[in-house]
Amino acid sequence: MNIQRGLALVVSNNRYQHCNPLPSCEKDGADIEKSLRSLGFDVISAQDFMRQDLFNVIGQFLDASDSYSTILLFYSGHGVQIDGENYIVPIDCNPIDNKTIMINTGLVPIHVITEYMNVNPQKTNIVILDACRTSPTFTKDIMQGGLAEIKSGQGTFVSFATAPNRVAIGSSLSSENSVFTGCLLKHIEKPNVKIEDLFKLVRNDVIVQSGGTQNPWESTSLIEDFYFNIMSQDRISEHIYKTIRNRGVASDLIHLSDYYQHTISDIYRIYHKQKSEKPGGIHFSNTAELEAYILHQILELGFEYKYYRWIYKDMPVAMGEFYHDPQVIALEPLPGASINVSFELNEADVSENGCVISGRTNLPTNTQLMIKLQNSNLQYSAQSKAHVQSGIFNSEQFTMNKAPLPSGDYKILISTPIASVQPKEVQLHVGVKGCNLMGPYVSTNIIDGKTVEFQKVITIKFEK
Amino acid sequence: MNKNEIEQEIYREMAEKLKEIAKMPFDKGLPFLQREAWRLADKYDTDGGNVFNILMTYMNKEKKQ
Repeated sequence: MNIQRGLALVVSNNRYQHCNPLPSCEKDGADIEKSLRSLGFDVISAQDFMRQDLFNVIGQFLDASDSYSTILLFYSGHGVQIDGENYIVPIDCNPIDNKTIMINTGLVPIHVITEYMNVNPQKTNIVILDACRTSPTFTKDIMQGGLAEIKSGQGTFVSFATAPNRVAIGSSLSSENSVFTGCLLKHIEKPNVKIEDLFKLVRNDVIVQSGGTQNPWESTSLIEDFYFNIMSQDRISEHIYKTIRNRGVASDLIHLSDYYQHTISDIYRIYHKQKSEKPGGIHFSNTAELEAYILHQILELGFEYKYYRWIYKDMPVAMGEFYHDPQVIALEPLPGASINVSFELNEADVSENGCVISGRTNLPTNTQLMIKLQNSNLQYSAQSKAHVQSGIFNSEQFTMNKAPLPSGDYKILISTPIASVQPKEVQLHVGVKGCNLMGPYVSTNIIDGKTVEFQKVITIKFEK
Repeated sequence: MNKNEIEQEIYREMAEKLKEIAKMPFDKGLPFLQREAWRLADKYDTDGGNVFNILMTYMNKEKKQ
């Protein structure tokens, strides 16, 4: 057997002489060939071949197939079915009314290859047909739109771009792939995905992209599992580590999650495990601590936990499970950045002009404060805005009907608005949703985050 | 080189650079230190953060001795 993964025949027809061209087929063939080569296949390529040339290349392919354990046919171009038999349409095919002459002079039957596959069930035989397209000149009575179902023999996997007797969507641009091949190319290199699962991924994408009008179809009788790309866990871990190490942005994590079919949290766990095994790696002895660290990192990358689901830029993502509740951990202070909020009130400055409340706090400069002064006996309640400047804050003058405040006990209530409305420089210190704030004066709300509330009763004495 | 030898080598190279960085103003020294950490990380197939960890760990060890 050949040491390569397999032998592939990639046939793509675009420049038809007697019917409409299929511009995307050329790119389909070239891209599939490139992809198969990178996956370790030997490829025989046949682009825009006439009928006789196509028979010759199929002959070469079948001769060479004896020394490979996996053989694959990919066809992109016009395909037709006549009396339940499928045919490749070569570029020199000139449609005529007589089906016997048409079959014997213009078309290439696919069973030339599938018969070889049927008598070699010990091999992994794969047929991928992106060919179920209609053509204006192929609307004569002898032919039907789409391809007929191929009953696969033992050890054979047959994939159609669409359901039997239905037509598939191509692209009129030579710079684009057809819908089916485009989706196949997106998934074919995903590691350790069984061929059956791979084509399920392709089907899901094609159904979405075609608005449900195209439904890829498979028929399989494979005896053993087949993977286009086999990667060891070590290689996967190293690739994940290298990708995140070099850029480490949210879009990379989303891409890696899609490529390796792992959740984003698992991708980050793999990255961290790989990083900790490198020289100087940091090991967490406590799982809860490690999980908290990972969750903080995920939140710092811009992923958000909203309405009990994870999103990134308003798109839902497959995040997976965490050891901690994201809503709670999101409000925990970042290591070394916590602010244990303290207040120290000065004696009230009472004069004929009113009363000024001032004091000291360790909140960052420019933090907005709301100072409220209340006296229930006098039914007095007033509030003033204040800004922290180098740890000091001062209220505006509190008065009662523009007259000095009467003597008595007053309750002072100092609070901050939610962190998101504070100035940017304050947000940098107090963190997202005020997560860095700590202490007895901090109240926590899962939706709004942390805010500060300080209360004290003071006695105001006004003497003329 | 095994892991331990790599760590020692990273620390030796980093300690040399620290002598240069010590003479720089902080705003120039910090990015220089970061660049140096990533250069060594690339050289020894590890991570910039891990290089800092090696530096801190070995400096603490020396201090204790």
